[in-house]
Amino acid sequence: MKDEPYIVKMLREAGKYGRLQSRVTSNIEELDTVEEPSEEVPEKTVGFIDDDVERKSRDDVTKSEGLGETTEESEDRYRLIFENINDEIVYLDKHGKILDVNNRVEDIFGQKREDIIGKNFTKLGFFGIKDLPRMIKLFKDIVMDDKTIDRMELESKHKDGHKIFIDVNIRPIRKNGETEAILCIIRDITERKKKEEELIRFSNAVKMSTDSIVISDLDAKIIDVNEATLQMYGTKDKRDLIGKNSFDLITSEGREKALAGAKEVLEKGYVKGREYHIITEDGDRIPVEMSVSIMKDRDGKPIGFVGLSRDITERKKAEEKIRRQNIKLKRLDRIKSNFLSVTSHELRTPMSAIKGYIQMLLKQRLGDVTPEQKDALDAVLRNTNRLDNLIEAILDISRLESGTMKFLPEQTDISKMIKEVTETMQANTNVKNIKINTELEELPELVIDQQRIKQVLMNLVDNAIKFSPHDSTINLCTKMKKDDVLFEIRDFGRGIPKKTQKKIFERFYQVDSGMDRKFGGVGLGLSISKGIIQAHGGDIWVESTMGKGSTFRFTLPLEPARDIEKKFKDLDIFGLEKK
Amino acid sequence: MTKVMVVDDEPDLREMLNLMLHKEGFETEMAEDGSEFLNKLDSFNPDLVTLDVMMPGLTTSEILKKLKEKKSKPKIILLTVVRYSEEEKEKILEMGNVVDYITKPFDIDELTERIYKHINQQ
Repeated sequence: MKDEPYIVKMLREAGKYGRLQSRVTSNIEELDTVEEPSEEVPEKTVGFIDDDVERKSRDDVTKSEGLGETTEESEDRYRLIFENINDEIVYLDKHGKILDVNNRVEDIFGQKREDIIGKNFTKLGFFGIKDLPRMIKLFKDIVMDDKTIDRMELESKHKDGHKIFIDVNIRPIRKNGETEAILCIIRDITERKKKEEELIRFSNAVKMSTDSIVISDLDAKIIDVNEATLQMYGTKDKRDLIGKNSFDLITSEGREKALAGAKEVLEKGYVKGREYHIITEDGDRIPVEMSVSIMKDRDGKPIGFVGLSRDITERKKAEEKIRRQNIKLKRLDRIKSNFLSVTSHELRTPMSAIKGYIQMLLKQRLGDVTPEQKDALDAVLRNTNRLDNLIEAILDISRLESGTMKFLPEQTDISKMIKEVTETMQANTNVKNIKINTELEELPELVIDQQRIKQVLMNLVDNAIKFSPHDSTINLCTKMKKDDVLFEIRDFGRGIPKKTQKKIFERFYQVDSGMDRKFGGVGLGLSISKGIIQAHGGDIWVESTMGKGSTFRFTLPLEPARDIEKKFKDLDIFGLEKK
Repeated sequence: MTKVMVVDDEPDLREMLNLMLHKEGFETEMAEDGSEFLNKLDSFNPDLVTLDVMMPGLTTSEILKKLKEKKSKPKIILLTVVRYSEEEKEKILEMGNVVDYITKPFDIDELTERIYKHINQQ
């Protein structure tokens, strides 16, 4: 504080030429007790006393020699200085009673001047309980030993309780060889202290950081490093690194990338998360993730770089592990998909032979067949078909689960497709004399896997037939919605209990195992249908009232589901991820 | 007489197809894999071949490639277990002699119908 001694000097000078008059009390007896002053403060004049001043009589100083002013004029002047100076000036008697103080006290301590004049400094809450005894002792030392205090930094308290920092200069004022008063010049250094604390915090943060921090100049020459850097490079002495070119810390393969990075730093101000390998003192290579930013001086001129590096050995190991696992998973996926393809071939080939022979026998291509033989062959064919359907269902479920189901989207006329479905199902409806009513709105063509959607429709119609009473109807209708087409299949059967409505889309779930057994259902159809509909970007659900029937609904988006295969693979159709 | 050759590694299926085609009145021959098929090809000189796509030994595309070097140019119906996309269908039909494919398990009437269709399309 280069102007600080100046203030002291100025005030000393002020003492030579005049007096600062104040309303003060002088109560010598209070020296040892340091107590609250009496309420009535008698007015008394006390000079701004210095040794030099002391020698002069009051009359001598009535007229200032040097300036040719009257006392009044000079007092006005000093009062002006006193009030306008940036530091707080406190004038105390030897007991600690405040005799005068300038208005800065309000800015610094939040105390009103008139509230504290005449009071003892110990009673004003400038110091906390912890510091107060020390301050009282210091005050006594000053009074007794004629001690001066230069630039002592103290912690004090604002009236509202927050911590402030002050820088204090104290001068005892002597009269007749005895300390009579104390002059305190106080500067608020809270801001500076905060900055200092901030600096200390930051410097500690750098010091304690577990990441390496390297500071270099614009030529990349290392100026300073933190502890973590020394550990990372396997050295104990900063001097091993300071002065080196920071690019030399990176392996030769990474250097070109590092140079390009440095160029980017100069352009952009920083680069983040670049991966390099560094070489330790022992020649080991360590993978690091490095971020570099530019360091600027007060005028914004670049003066160097700050590089922050983190050892990512562990992360790299974990990444490598994941990469290997992914390769393994992909291989397993291929094996699974291959297995499915082989299985489906192996299951279908014998089915082809069986069905071919039965058909040839039934068509009497291998000779005449008696009615009894024909019945037997019909039963064989029926059961073969049932087995065939089961194989298909199991293969479909496996494909849906493994994400290997193949979808072949094509432009499809929905009404035509539904007509084909109802025609195919005709044979099944005849048995119970069930009528299928269709109510089809005019629809645009949809891009769907026709065969798969037919499979869904047939599954739903087949279920409806199974659970419909004799001589009833099944309603099949389509409706245009905002973004999709709604399909509805309604039967007038016994309905599905509320609590099982959701479960029926789970694998191998049967509403009524007896009933399902009777019809040869295994509980896969709805689960496959759900997978197929979801893969198309649609949804499927059921609404049902017991005794009144069930309505199965599903939607298909007007916009074809993009990249249906991929979308399908990302779907968690059976909630497998959650398990 | 129309000559049809059945190429399949599954003996029962091969025999069944052979019998079925024989009963239809075709002159038939059998092969259990790609090499046997290629060996017998020129001497038998079939009009049509049913070729299983998944057999040990030569792959389907290898067989079709080698077929180009043969004098005999029979029409080929592939017997497969997978569904093909339009794109794949085109690709398959571009592979020289392939005229059609049928998925297992098939209906024998449908297969016969297709065989007649392709034979008559000469």
